[in-house]
Amino acid sequence: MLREETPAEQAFRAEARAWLDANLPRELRHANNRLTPPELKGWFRTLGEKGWAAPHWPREHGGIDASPVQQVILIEELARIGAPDLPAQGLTHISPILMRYGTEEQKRQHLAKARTGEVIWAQGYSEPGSGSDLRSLRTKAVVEDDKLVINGHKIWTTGAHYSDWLYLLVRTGADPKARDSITLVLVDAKTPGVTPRGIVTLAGDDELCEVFLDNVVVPITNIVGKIGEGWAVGTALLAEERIRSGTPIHALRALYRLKQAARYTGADRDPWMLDRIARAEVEVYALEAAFLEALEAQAAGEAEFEDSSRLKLYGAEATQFVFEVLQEISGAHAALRAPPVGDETTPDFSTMFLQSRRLSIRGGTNEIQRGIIAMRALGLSRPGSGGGGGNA
Amino acid sequence: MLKLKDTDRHIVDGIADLMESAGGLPRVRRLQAGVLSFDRDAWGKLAAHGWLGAAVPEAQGGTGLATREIALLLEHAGKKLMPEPLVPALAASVMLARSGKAGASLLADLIAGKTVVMPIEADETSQAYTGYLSDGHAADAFLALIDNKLVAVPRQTKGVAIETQDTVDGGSITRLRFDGVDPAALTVLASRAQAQEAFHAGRDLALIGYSALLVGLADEALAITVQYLKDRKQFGVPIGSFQALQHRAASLYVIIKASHALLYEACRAGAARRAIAALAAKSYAAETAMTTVKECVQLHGAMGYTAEHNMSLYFRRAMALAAAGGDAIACRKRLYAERQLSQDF
Repeated sequence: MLREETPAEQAFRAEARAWLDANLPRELRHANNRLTPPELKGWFRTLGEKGWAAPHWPREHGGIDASPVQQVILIEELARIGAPDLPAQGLTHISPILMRYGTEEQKRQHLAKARTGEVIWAQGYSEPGSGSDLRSLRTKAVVEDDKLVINGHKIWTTGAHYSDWLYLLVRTGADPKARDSITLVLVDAKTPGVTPRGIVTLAGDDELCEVFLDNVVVPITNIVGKIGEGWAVGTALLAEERIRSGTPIHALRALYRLKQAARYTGADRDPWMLDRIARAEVEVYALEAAFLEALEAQAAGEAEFEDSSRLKLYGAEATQFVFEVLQEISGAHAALRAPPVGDETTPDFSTMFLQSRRLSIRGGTNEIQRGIIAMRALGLSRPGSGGGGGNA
Repeated sequence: MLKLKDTDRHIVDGIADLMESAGGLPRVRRLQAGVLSFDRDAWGKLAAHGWLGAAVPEAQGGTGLATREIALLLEHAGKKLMPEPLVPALAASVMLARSGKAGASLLADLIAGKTVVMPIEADETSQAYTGYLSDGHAADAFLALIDNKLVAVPRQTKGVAIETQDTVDGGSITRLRFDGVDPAALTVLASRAQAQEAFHAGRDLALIGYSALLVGLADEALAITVQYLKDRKQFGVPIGSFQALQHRAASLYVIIKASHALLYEACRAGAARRAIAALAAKSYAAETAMTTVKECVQLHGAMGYTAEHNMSLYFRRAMALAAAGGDAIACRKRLYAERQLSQDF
């Protein structure tokens, strides 16, 4: 963050730095592999109980009502100490939906447990035939008395095999074109008929998943909002989610790795390499500034619809750019298989670069975001005979 | 993006009106077509509106705008392709204001528009070239940091040779050659820490100022282009309905907004990070503006390549501004000189 911090903000940074150092286990710092929920459980609880897993949450739900600057300070300090990424679906997506649309019972049952990682959530939106064109989803749910019977196949349900609960968009109406035929429902992953399976990624982990749903019976009280309102409820907070997926934490981690690699290879003494590194650093400054500005606009009630798409896209591109520079300056080391933990003696050249390719795909591809920006921010017309899709 | 405050409206509308009353884009076209152009009437208007004193506290005769407000002024001047060398003049005004009494009379003349003053990079006065200064042909006097002293170098100083080369936007790059200048004959405005502080404060403001001109320029170039995408029809539909073009326009929008955010974040930097912030903002704005004008010419097709289309004015001005005060690579080089790699975030 380039701006001058107030004394209170400086004090918050000092508190965060000291607390993180005292509480984050050494073995979890600067991990190369994306740690699994079982490995993260203890740390997630500690951070959640402090109110810092989702610092922007209101105090009544266990957050600290953090200001935009406080949020960025926490992001910077988490990146500095090498804190691992936490599964975000419960924190940034389903919980805000429940805060707004959930019943009191649903809030009581789920919010506190999502905040401390006691319950890990996975999102079941995409299907093999419904990716960017999400509204065409076909997983079917039939109401039988006070139950919902679900049959179908979800995919890209990140972390589903480690998750305790899923939130799914399912089709409850006959007309596949109608908006009111989709419903959002919460499903306990232990329910009979729920079968998750890992999918090995380009980066070598298996965090991508698919989930088979065979005659899965859930109580009708697990529906969020009303039946048939799932599209509105499930996408209402996409804007919120996408602004937060523009978090600079990935880019800051990338910058840390880049500098570590540069010191290891000697690129930090080569003027040509230093220009590339400085270019990457400027990109991170720009991302932080754009993210902070978007949070401030949101806090002032002045957010534009397009802010979320722009931040989501830019966060992905800036992070990928920093890792691309890391590859460029790494010479013969570029393709080295990484050690499990990157430190000064054995930096990671490849793993996080490979992982970064997911950022421009997950949660709505960058192409989907460009389509939204073209229509919503620039006022260009929906692609017709001359172009392809471009649906939000 | 945060909305403008009501008090900002005065600045935004004021500079837009001034540029329009001075002659709008037809004037810009005339000046770009000329060589070593300088519109004294427009300069007088800037003085009359108090903009030449924008960076000077009211107690010293200026209008005392905050850095953020100066950026806003220049962003909107950039949209209208303001050809006047307001940025180096503002930088010089900061240096003079921070020099105290010694700089007072030159500062008063600068603010009044009587004397055009600009800073130039120099190390010594014997047999030496200074660095290049954009649009230095319009300067009546230069400010330089020599031997730890901030000195004023009037244009006619004995032993000063002025080398000026004209640029594609009707402006120039200028450098001085000192040959037998008597350092004792130069007016010393400030010494040691005060001189350093004054010069660097002005230099950092120049970087912010050029960034703001570039951000405004890029923003307006994209707005013109998006309108063209809506108006121009081919294959029976507006070409803006083609996804291939939409995505390129969207990509420009994203980086222009990022450059805008970085600029205003940099305006809020404290003394310790001011130079880093300004260098980051300028290097990013220079690259963003050049990417934007190149894409905007392409998105206009053959019309975009004509001199007749106003995009040619944006393109040429972007080239000059991207280099002014230090191009992207020069800024990054200085950024690393200011801040060693070993430091973290």
